[in-house]
Amino acid sequence: MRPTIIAALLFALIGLSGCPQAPEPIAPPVTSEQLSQMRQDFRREDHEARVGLVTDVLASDNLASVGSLTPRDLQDFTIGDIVTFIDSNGKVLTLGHVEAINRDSLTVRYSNPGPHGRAPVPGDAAVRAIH
Amino acid sequence: MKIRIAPFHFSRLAGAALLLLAASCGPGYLNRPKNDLRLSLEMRALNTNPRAESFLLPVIAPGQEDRPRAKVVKHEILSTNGYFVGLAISGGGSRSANFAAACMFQLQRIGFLQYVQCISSVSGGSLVSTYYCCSPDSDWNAQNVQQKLTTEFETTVIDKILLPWNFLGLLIGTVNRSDMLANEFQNSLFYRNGRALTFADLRHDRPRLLLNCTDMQTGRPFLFDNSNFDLINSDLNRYPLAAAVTASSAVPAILEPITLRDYSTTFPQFQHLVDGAVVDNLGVQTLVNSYAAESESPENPYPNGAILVVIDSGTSSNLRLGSKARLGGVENLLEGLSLSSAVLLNRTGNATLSNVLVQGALGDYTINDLRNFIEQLRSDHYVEVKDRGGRLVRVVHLSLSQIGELGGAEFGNSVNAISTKFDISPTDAFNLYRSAVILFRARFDARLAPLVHELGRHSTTRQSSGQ
Repeated sequence: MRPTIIAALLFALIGLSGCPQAPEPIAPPVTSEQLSQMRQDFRREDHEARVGLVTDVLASDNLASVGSLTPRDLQDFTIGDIVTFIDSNGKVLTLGHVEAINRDSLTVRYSNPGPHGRAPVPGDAAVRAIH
Repeated sequence: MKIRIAPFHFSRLAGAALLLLAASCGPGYLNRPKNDLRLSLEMRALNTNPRAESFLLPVIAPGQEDRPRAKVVKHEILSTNGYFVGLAISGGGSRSANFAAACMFQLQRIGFLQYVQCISSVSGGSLVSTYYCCSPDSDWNAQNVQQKLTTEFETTVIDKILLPWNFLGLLIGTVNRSDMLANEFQNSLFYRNGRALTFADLRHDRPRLLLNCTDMQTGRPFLFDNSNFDLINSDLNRYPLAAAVTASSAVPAILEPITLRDYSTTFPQFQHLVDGAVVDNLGVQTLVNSYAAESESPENPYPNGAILVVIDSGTSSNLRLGSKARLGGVENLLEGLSLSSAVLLNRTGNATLSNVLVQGALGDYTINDLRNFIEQLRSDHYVEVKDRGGRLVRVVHLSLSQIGELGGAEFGNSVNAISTKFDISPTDAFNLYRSAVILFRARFDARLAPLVHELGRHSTTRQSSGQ
């Protein structure tokens, strides 16, 4: 086979497959200072906004446990409330809804993340800002 | 080693390639005929979809006024409380779709959306209006809608265009960018139980849906409604919703027009439809005309007047460019297109809303009164005017441009920078939902609560009095 044909085939193959992209590194967990700042920011705009932290994840069932909420905050939630998962850079990861309100935490079922998101991990923030 | 293609094999290969191309080459239109042309006009069946009724006469192209057309039929009266409650949704790509969805969830929370009888939408706004009118209750929630409307429609289409066979198809005209976009809309939003959703799938317990386009031939608005489809003897109920939404969004020059075959003639005749924003980026003109057509009829079903809510995702210009020293060739082109379209759409939007007030109000108002109405709408985002019959028309302007004033400059700037493409990041979509929450908490909860109360009171009265 002529080298030009081989080169053209290789070029077409590379073009079709595209360049492999390195996965985006996971942002560090939200610190307590960041959490306070987030609460302040969201509540300044909307006094009904609530911000907690993901404490545990059951990835096989798309469930996340959200803690760092006061008993009063927990009382404000209702089953079905929409929760948005955000990393420490403020990037939205995916959405979920409250499935259970426990004594000191929420159980949230999250949707499969889109191409630019990811499943929540402990240390991500969980925000109720859409209600 | 040399590859030799024998003439016999070459002709086979060429034949197969031609067959493939022919297979991918559709007729260029998706609408189907309604009646056999041999039937007389009186014998023909008409489109009677109550969810796609504008009560407006179709616009006839110049020189075709004498063409035979089906008679207009009067459909059921839809108001149960004596009010015309309409929602207009502006264009603006995925920004508009997400902001409109967020506002609709807020309207639902305060109990207003349930009273809306008619939605008129343009371009990106048509994505969410159509989805609302055809989706089951279980799918109409903020989590699902936000995820669906953050699909990267535009990137997917561009990725597909770059495939060699599609690129070749584009060059020779067998592949169409609008068809590709319609496919993406269909796959994400308008496909259920193994088939594409059509106008027959619009829910009967949801508002009437008026999708606005522009007819390239006349330069006038075109609606996907019964009378326009009667005029071309085509079956509206079999027309795919995704194609209609794409027609409403087909920005001229960037996307090809969506074509309808005119079956009212024996010779080939077509209509080419592009983005409704070319004529009215707010969709409010259609809403007002539809209200006027019904309220001025002898059996006026709206003695209590109208409440019109306009969701306007127009913002100020692009602020992201300030951080860049130099714009590359492609970026320059894209940003230029985005900026000029955004500015043009904002201007069209403001002009249309003012025009609607001037043309639609027209009681015994002086020029000064009208100027004050327009100014009041700009400052309060709410105005009350009287229509020709002296009935009260309330206009609420839910505009995204207020967010800088209410949510802080930094947040306002980040929202202003969201482009009008059919791509949006989940973070930008989330910020649009936050914007809607802020607007409603700060301004529109209080503004709309008395209207909801008034609508509820009249609904109860009419129901209890047996009307």
